[in-house]
Amino acid sequence: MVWEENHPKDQPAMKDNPYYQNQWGMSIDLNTCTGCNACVVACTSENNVQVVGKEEVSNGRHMYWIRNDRYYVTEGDEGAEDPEMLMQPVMCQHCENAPCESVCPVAATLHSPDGTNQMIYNRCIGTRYCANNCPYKVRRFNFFDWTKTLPTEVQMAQNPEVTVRTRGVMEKCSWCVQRIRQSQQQADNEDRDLRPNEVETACQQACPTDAITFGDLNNPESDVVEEKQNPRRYELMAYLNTKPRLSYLGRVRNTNPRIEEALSSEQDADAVAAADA
Amino acid sequence: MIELDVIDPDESSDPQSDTSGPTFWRHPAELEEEASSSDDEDRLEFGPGDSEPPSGASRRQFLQLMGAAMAMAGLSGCRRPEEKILPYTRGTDEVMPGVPQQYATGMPFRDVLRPVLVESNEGRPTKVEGNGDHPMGQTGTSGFEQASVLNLYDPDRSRSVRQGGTETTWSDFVDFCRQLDRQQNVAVIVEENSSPTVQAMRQRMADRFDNLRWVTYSATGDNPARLGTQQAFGRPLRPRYNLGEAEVILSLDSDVLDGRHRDFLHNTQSFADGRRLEDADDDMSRLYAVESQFSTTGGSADHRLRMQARRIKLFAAALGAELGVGAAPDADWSERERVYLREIARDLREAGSRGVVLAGETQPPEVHALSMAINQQLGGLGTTVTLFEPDASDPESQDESFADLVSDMREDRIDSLFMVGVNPVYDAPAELGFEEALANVRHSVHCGRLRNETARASRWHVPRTHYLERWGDGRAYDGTLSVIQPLIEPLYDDAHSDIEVLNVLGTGVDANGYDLVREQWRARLGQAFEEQWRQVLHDGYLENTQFERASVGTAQVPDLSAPGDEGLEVVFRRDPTLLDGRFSNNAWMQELPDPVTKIVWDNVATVSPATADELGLEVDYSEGNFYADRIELAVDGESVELPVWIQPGHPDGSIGVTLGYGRTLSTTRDGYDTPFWDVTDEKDVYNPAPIAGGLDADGNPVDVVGSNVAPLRPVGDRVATGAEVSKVDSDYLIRCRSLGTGATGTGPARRSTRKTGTASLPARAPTRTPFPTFRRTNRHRAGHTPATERPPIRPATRGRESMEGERADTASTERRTWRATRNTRWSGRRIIPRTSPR
Amino acid sequence: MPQIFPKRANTLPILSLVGSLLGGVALIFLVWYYFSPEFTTVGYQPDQPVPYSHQLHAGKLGMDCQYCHTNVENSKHANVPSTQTCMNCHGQIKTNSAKLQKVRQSWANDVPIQWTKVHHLPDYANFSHASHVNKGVGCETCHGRIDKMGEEGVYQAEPLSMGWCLECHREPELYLRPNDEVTTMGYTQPANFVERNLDRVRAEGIQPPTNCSACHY
Repeated sequence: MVWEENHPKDQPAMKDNPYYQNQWGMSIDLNTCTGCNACVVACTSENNVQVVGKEEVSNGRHMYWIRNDRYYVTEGDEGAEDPEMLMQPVMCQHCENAPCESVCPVAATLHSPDGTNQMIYNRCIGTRYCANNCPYKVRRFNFFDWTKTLPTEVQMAQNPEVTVRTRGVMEKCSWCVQRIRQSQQQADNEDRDLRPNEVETACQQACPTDAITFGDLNNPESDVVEEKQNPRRYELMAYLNTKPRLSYLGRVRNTNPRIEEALSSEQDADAVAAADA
Repeated sequence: MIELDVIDPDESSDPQSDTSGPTFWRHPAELEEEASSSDDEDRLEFGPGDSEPPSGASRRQFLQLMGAAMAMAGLSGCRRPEEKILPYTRGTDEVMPGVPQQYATGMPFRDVLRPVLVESNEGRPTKVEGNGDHPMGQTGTSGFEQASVLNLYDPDRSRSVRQGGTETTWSDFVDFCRQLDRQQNVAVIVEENSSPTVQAMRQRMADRFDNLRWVTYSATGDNPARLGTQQAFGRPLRPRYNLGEAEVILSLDSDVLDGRHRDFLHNTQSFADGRRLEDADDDMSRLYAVESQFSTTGGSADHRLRMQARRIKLFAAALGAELGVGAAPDADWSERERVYLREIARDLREAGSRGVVLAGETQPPEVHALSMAINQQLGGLGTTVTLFEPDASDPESQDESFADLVSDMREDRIDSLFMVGVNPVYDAPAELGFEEALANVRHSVHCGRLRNETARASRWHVPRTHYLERWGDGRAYDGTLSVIQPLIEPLYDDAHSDIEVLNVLGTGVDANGYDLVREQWRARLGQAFEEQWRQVLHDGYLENTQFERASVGTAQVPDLSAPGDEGLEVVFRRDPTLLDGRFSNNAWMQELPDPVTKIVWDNVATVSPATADELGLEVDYSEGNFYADRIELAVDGESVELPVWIQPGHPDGSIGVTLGYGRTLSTTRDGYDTPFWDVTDEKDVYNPAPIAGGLDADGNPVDVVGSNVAPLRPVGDRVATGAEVSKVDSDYLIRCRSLGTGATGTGPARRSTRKTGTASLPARAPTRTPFPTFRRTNRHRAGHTPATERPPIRPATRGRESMEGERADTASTERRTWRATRNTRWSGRRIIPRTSPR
Repeated sequence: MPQIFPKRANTLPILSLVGSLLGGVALIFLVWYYFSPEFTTVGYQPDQPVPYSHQLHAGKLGMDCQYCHTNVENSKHANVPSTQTCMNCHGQIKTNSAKLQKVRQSWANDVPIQWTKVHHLPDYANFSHASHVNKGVGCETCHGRIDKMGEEGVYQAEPLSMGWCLECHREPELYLRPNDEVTTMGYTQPANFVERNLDRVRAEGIQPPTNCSACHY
């Protein structure tokens, strides 16, 4: 297909790169995710994500890189009275065929040789075409300079290893690329390969149920490789052919068939009664 | 890489018209399909006008104007900024600039300690992680630990000792403490804590003052679990639930998977162990949730029943009766409730020792005692439930001792009152009249991190250090002792820790927290103190200090009284992001959406759709935002104004409210104004008042987030009855971050149900979205189809050919099954499962 | 009609055309030259609080770079030494020198000396000293002949622009040196150094990354 010819991933510049040896992927298990939001705060803390305040949130300009989508689930014609709930953490899917990469006029968002979608803040000029194109709506734009007026004490809480973004640049989850690079450099200096599961993203480290698994897909000993073999696996909006590196393991409920039967027959009885009335 | 066929638009079903299969929606308006014209607007990420450049010269405009000056871009480099490098004066061996270090410490959380590892960059803590080495055993945390670092760097922290509102010095306070008469009636109100050193300081104070009263205070009063086990077993015990061992879990409004729970880390990890499915044959636990709000526990539950908090008590009693514990109450149950009651009892009975019943903090102690009795009856004590024998703690009720204290204060029987880490002026129930009683106390001292409502009402205020800057100790939920070690010197010279303040009160000596803790630990560690001390600091815990397992007799089954009054009930909970107000001034937590309602920067009165209809309340949805009616909620003469929120799945006749909002904090920071063309002053969250709300020069509240519901709470209970609601306003903007991925109906989240013994699938029309549906069998349930007769989930051989054959056999033509091929190295070849074609 | 313009005005169009062409070219050249990092940053020699002479210490006395800049092998910063490092010697040597007044003050009052940063990389470019020093990039390669910089202070010898970094990243074999010669000043490469470096690159798998997120993240 057209977009596969001369794909950057096949270029020698990518393949000769030391980072090419690692291919990062992530899996989120929706069975164990309880929606506690620890990952959201951990990401904010690690990546110097700023707070925008009441008004700007209502304008849709919140800055959090990861969010927990909450869906209510009802079957058939059931009303809104007794839904089930499903939580799904969503952050940048690091699509292999990313719709955001092809539309940036200045190539500020690219695919790194290790398979992540990278955001280069200094090159971004703020057209926001990438956010427009992203089907998952995970790209956040700095509409204002949130850091200009940060009190000194709050500046002390920022992580020095992560760039602080100014007004007019796009930002998004980078799979804690600072941690990836740090570990890669460390391993390089020590003349060794990265150990399996050595790199942990902030969300993965904070998750108390280990719902988030991140790692090197090229290393067969990584946990993420095993997670991706789970038959429950699916990708978000995969029909758009974005080929995300982030996959989810669908939630399975362990329902009591007797209750289901009893309730559905009760519903049928109600429906019959209503029809009769 | 996934190889998917591109969907042929003609073939695929239109998501809008497809009505069968599960529906995924984010708010009730989405369910109404008539609202098609505004659909597109709803799906927009931004409302109209929001993606316009902000006022002031936008980047684009600037570039247009300065197009000619593009060549001069390099001019900015002409006058280069001078940057300074400040090295250390005395170098340290361990600290390498640029390489962060990690230290183990503990975060005091309610009355336990949560073990953490904190990353420190050149002497300042920046990131909190869990301590994987600790017996609690994991690197995970809740959101509270993560946000606690911002609490340390809160710009509105109090910085100096104050007497009567004017700044004074720490040494003045020490002098004041020294001259206190030992005959005085001294009372101390402390927050819940697990620190043995604080207990030692209490002993010192008791030695000094003849009439010392020591009251532990919490914003929501007593811990009903403690009182419940006391009722059941005669002494307060601490239950730990091993949800990974359980097959059937019943949560009675317990919200066990939420970060506010004391044993959150263990609960959620063990629950996840019981739910993780690596193979199709793995077992899964089953969670029933009977609750009075929609919580994340209810969200994870397989079956959820919504019920008013006061009726859950009766439900528990009825359940107990079915299982042979206690008598059935006199109550009416709806058909649905009856089904649940019957089946839950049956499931628990079958599960036996692998069943567990947990009760939550909104339920009275009787329900906790009853659930202990049920657990004992099922045989779960020892498997799914472990009971710890905690340190000798006061068996008496906090609520009672606090109420006694307040009445004594009112009657001028207390000379000096010391409040450490508590804020009763803000969150004590109004019926106690704490603030008036406080005015009667001659010497009132508040020690806290912020200059809050209580600090302003007290004569003395002493700034308190944050756990990241102080020495201390504590016990985790299972009893493991840890030392709290600081990662940074106290940011403000006059800030002192609770043990330092208590020590000055008890001995008059201004000792360092470090020395105080070491003194206590010297006695505990005995031999080879220095070595062991360093080991404890390194590991973050002391080995083998867990609580003993308690051995108990037969549980006393309490008598569950008749149902409460009619009328609306109001259920009071700590906020899932702000807790009881400790994180109110924490920007991250204010902006963190509530896990279920997804509301930020506000608190609401949650009601069910039916109740809202009855009361004539509405929440409108327009252009991506919600506009709610405001109500005046009145309970027993106290009232508060709140926006209402209509929550699907909330029980009828019940209103849920959360604490922690409506704060007014005093700060030494000034607000600022910028000229009209510069919107910085409007967009800065730290301007003009503290995040949670503050006071202006005249003492009027400014920028207050939410409303304080704590005064409405009845003493000794979390549930108030007989509430009155009247609508006072409408169109209040609620900031709700419910934006999901994509449009309605694409429901990217997937879930499926595991069923017993179905050999064939019912014929289904194409599902709304292409979901795989798993039909599984559960070996442990009686009455299922034996393994030999079950149809295979996947054919024995892998490969596409057998897939074709299988598909032809099934009734459903739309079913899809995923398969995994052997993992191959990523070198351009696929390692990701192939899917079968449609 | 009377002629408004004299005959000699006929040269004006050609002159202005040629002039603007030449002027344009000149302008472009001037911008290219004067705004390039090679011009704007090379030679930057700010004032320092203490007239520390590398020429004396590293040159004449032969102190190794890593005696003071201790973390260069382990950390992304090559740290400026603490006052204690200075006082190791100057507690006994030249204890009354006026030039060392600020050092003694810093030591006595426990207040750091405020050195002015010379080699300033922007915040969005992450650079790790450890990665480079461990792979054989000499101190001199980026910082120039430090041992010849005297009391006037260190000046920036190389532009440190992205293009300049990429020159080496694309062809490391032209710039590397054996690890034990990293701190040598005035190192001359042996005759067959490119070949040797190529062998080394192949053997050790030295692949300096050239993708954006290697440094910009």
